[in-house]
Amino acid sequence: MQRSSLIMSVIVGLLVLGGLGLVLTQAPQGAAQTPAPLVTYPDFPPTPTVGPNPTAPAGLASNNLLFQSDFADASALAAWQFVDQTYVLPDLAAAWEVNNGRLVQVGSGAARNPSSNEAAALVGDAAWQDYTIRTSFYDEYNGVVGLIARYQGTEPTQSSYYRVRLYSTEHQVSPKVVLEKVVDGVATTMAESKTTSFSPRAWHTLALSVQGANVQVQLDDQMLVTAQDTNPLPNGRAGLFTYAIGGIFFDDVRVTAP
Amino acid sequence: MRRYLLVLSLLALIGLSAQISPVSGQSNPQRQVEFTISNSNNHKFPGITAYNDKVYIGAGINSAGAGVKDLTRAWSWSLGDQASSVSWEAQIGAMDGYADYSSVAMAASSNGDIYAVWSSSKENRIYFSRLPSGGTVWEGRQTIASGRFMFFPQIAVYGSDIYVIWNQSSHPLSLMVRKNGNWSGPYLTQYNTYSVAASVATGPSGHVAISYSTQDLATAIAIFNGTSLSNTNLTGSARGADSSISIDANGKYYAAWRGLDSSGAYSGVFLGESSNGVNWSTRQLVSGDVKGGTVNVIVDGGGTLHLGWTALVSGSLRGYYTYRLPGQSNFMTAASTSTAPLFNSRMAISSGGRYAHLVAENHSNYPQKVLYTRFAGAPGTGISATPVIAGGANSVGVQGKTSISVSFTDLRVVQSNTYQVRWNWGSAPTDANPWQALSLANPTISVSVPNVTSCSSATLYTQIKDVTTGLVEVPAKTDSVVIDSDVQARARVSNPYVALASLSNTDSLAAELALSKGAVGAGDPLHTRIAVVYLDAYNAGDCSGVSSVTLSHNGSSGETYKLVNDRYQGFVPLPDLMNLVTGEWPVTITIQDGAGNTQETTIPIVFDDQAPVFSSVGTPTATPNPQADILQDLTFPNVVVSDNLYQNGTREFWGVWLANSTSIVGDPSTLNWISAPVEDVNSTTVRVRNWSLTAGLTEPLPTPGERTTYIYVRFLDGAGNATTATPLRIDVTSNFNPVKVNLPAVMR
Repeated sequence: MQRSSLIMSVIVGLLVLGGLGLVLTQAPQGAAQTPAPLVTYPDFPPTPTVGPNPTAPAGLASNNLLFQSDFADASALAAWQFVDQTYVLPDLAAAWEVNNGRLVQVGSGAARNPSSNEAAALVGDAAWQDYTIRTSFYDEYNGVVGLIARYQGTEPTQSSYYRVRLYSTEHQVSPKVVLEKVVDGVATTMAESKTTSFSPRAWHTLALSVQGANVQVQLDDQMLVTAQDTNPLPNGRAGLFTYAIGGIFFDDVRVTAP
Repeated sequence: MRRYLLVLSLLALIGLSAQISPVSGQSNPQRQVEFTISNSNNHKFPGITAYNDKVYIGAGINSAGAGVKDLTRAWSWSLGDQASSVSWEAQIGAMDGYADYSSVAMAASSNGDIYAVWSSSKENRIYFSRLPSGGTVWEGRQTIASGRFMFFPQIAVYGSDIYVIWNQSSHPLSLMVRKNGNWSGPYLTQYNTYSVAASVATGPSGHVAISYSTQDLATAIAIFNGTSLSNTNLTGSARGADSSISIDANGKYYAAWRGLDSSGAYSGVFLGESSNGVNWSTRQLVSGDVKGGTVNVIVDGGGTLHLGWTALVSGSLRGYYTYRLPGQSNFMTAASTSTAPLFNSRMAISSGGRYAHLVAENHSNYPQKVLYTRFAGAPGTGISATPVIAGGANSVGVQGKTSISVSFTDLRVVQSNTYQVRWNWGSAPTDANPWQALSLANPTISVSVPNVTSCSSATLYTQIKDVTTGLVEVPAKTDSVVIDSDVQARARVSNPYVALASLSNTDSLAAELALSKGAVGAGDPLHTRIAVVYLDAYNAGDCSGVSSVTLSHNGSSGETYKLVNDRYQGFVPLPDLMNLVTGEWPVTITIQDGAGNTQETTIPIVFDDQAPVFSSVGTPTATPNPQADILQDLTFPNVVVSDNLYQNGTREFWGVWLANSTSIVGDPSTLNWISAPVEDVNSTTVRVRNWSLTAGLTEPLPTPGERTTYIYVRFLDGAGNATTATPLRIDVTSNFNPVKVNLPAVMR
């Protein structure tokens, strides 16, 4: 009788140990550990890594350099004026930051929400006449990139300038490149190309040149579109263009005179 | 020792039971349908709502396409909650505004009315409109508010009460309330708002809650107590935005929002829960870069929590949906949209939570358009039962009834639980409508007949309650039916020969009616000399149509005749023919309409197959018409005719049977006999007026000139039986002057 009780005690003891062990291993493991998320996303590939910037062509390091920025730190923002080219409430203005040595469009307002605001970053001197603005860019999910030249005016929705817009290959209108002249806020297409565009999640270079009446656009050092303006805008600042959706990086901006 | 063993055993069982998963029968949500609404150009901040199994989407659009930024119309689209394309669209109202600030929001009431509010930012106005339940045309827009730049309105409905909120830059959120048709407010939140859309929700017993983003980017809640808003800051500054709120059937509040960081403890999706709106427990559901507008939370009638949001995952900004069943802590693995980049999503659920519908701005289009995505997977734990009145009939007959049968289909219940149902005609039931038991084995109840005008539609609202859990079906379900409380029809049976007299061609008649050829074609309409009557029944405006007419006699089973194109006309046998005897044979006519109502009338038909008996008559006279002696008044004094059944006053014959002849004949039966009613001159003398001396003659109308006509006379009873005695003869000499018509002279 005593032996059978002993056996029973051993069996029950093993059950208790097993049960308690399972409970302890499955229970929350203390505040010091990160709890498992209560919501999980479906399996997606990891976010692609942003590789190194393209190397700037040697020819751009000329004596005619009007402006350059590598966005080494946040102080680089001081040279820029950020404007919204569509009507926007003050707390929803397009937001730009310097992160990891790049100028990043991060959405709109302090909440950084994506917005379809047309957002521009302007730089330089209103007296600039003939020049090329060139930038490297990396589009993560924005879908739209562009450049601005000979920007004149103080009211963004009523200013005059040349602008090129490119849509990424993931955009439904792609391929599409639009070179346009905006006068007092009203855009007129000067040239349009539907033959090529840029792929997202890869570095590219984009350049916009204005020389007299001639306007040219190059993507990755290949000519995209050219146009002549019989009544050219005379001068103005240069700039970067995108939508305030966020998800696009700029780097190695150069403005050079011929 | 035994007690020790028992305690140890219990501990062991507890440990092992902790490993038993309580989750069963649930599946991860799946994306079912996704498409872009092609004409939703330049829209911003689309709105969506659902009622039962129908989805309504709203947005501001312009019709000019790309390059035109301003919006001109508040527009709506609709589709079934399992459809793959839009089935209906309509303008809600005019709009004039900047695309980024001219949004449309929608909400459904418990009776299926759809409400929309929209901002017209250039006009600085908030507009409101209603799409009546089942309608296709929005009512004229109303201005709810005007003033300094207002945007991002949202709307919630409870019963007939409307709650509308909107933003103003650097200003508190405003709430306007419509009760009993009157607007009040604005009621203001405690904190100024950041310029992102807020959310308003209603719950049982009129709970109203708002979630919003404060100017310093905290997520705040405001509970409306009827006269003011009490506010709670859930997150602290720079910790949350883009919130939404929902209230479950038990009055518990759920709020969801996003963190502002792209990773870590202040990133991702957060959920707050509160039983009283004051004390909240909050937790991070998932970390990561959640951006792009509202984190949508909706709790369905069964307590399943649905979440929809947009997030940057794997380098793409997509929409996501997941749900959590009642009693669970984990949500299912989310499903995503396939399209990117998306933002500013809004979500609705339908069919008790089975389907989630997400709309968002699709920026892979130029200009951006509305992307619609449907997800499924939630088991639809919301209890639900769809009422079906009178087996689904379009109309129900309630003549003589006090109740109507209502069955329930599409039951979504827990079979082991106990259920009750309450109902109301015309509006969702309230606490004034008592709960009654609902059998799951035989889910049928009786409801009282609504007090509506016959042939008008009535809508029944029902709500079931799980007595075991306390859950109440939200919103109430409905079914409509036309209430038909009487029969609008006419029917008569009559002497078949009276009807025959009006027929131009009797060749196709049955053999028994062939007797009529050359026979008496008139008589009393309630008498018949053969076992046949003429039946004429027709719809006289019955909204359900008239289906049949039945003839019976003194409770006999009768014979039923179906109406075709709402009418029956024909010669039919007298009912209960096997027992037919001469004499009064009342015929009961029962008309039944399409809704089952019946109308019963009894006609005192007399079956009389016996001829009257002629005894004597004074000297008949013929008096010419002064205008034309071709017409003669025939007078019969002191007529003595007896009949077994017919009686009109003291007269026992209905009329006379007359035949003209140009000569005296030996066998008058070969003449062409014509029946004519008589009128009483006095108690013993009758008269036939204007008898034509040419009636029934086959020869051409004679030229005027004196000649004699021989009129043979027999007497008829009401059924048309003629006396068998030798006919009388009246010899009439006249000039056959025809009837003249004198036209007025015209001088020119």
